[in-house]
Amino acid sequence: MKNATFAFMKLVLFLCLSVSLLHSVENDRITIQTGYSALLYQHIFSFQTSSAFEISASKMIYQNVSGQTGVRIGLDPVLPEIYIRAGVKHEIKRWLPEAGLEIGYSKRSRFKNEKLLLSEIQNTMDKDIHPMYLSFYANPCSFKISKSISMRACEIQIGSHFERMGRTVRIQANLFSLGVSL
Amino acid sequence: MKTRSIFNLLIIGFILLSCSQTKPDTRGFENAALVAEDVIAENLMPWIERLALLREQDTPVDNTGFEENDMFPSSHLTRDSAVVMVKNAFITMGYEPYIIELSRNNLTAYNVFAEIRGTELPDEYILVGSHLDAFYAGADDNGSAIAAMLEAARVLKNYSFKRSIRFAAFDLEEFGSVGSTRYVEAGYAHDIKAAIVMDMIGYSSEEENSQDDVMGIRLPDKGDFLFIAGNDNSRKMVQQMTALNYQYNLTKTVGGIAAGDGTSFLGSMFMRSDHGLLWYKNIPAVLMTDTANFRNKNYHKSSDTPESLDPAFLYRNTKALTAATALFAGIQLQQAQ
Repeated sequence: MKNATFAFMKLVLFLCLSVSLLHSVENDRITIQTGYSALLYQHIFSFQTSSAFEISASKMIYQNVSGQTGVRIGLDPVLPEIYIRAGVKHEIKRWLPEAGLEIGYSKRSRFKNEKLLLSEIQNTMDKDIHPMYLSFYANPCSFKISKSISMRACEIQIGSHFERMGRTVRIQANLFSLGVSL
Repeated sequence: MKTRSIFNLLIIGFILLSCSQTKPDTRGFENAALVAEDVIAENLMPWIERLALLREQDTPVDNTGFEENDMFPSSHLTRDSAVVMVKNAFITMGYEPYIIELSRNNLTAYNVFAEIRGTELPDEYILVGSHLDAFYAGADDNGSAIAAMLEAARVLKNYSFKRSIRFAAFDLEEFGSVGSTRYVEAGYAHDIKAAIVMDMIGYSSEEENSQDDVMGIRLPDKGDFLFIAGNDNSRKMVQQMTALNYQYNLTKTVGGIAAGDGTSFLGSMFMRSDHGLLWYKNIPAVLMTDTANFRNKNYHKSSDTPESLDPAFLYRNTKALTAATALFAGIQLQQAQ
């Protein structure tokens, strides 16, 4: 686990450094984004998929470092998740790739264990998942459509909950989102 | 330049240090192995045969709501007669066994316990666990482990230990470690310092390719070894047990340590028994097994009968269990009686 964490941190550092060497983004406006994402949760014997609508606001904080905060409202069951993230973003013509870290508070780690077999041990384990999570995100398919409008597709996010990180795996794909700079 | 060389040397030294092999602590090995010599091979199979006969006449557990298929024949699970037999066996040996009943959702688990009180650290327990419920005759799964536990209990009763020992026969493991989960959840496991859980330890095969790999972990081709699974918390236990078994030729052992606390997705295959929640709660625990369905083709079938077992293999594993329990409990030289 320590090796995996170390490798993960190296990857994050590498990506952040490599992106930070590139062109800075010339946009100091607040961008409001809305989109749709799919989430896959795994915890020992439990497995759950869910989807969510999300809305967020982002702004370039310093040179090509961006900050973002948002909320995701899960569908079936409707459970919220709030997050903040910091990433490094650059702009090459219309392409706006971004990578960084996200910290969030999630109520979406709820598992429906429909079978009776293993249900007691699953429920016992599932009920003490820490609500805070940390994840790495990469956004390779982000494009500027016009001066004020941008779009993202297939953002990938991989993370786990705080406290014994690695017991849970959350893989999220932001399928599509649209942004408007104000 | 000189500072840089010193720095490089320090880095290399640190890397070498972090790569160095950790030798297991071998203190107490000799006494532990000596205790294991008291295990009597002829005592083991009669327990399994008696359990198999009792199960034939037992009423199956109500399996309402549970699935029923070839791998999980839920309508053939029995436990009532095993509860009585294990309790009476402990009484015969001079123990004062007790049953903890834990009910939920119209399903009651009857866990049977017996204890040896430690002399110096009586509030620290070494738990020796195995499940008493079984499908069909349940010779390997889990009559073999019950027999080993009872024989170890008989032997260890004659000695004194620094720590206390708790023998536990957990109920309803086959329905998803129900008995042990409720036991841990109810707070009874707070005094457990280490646990040895057994699930199927009586089947072996000398044939080539008789052993399947477990979740991508390469195992020897011949299924003639005892597998001891641990995690980071029980790494030292696995190391000591494999070293003890090897040094005193107790039983052929392969040790496996799951990454981290063993609760990751890939590690979950190693959590498939009564030690599962112990791992989750960071209590050091190991699983002793013949690898179940990765070796034994009679797994959860009516063919899991006493005749399918290897009594010599079971005998060796019982010696390994007895020695390991004596070691972790801190065997004291003089006999209690």
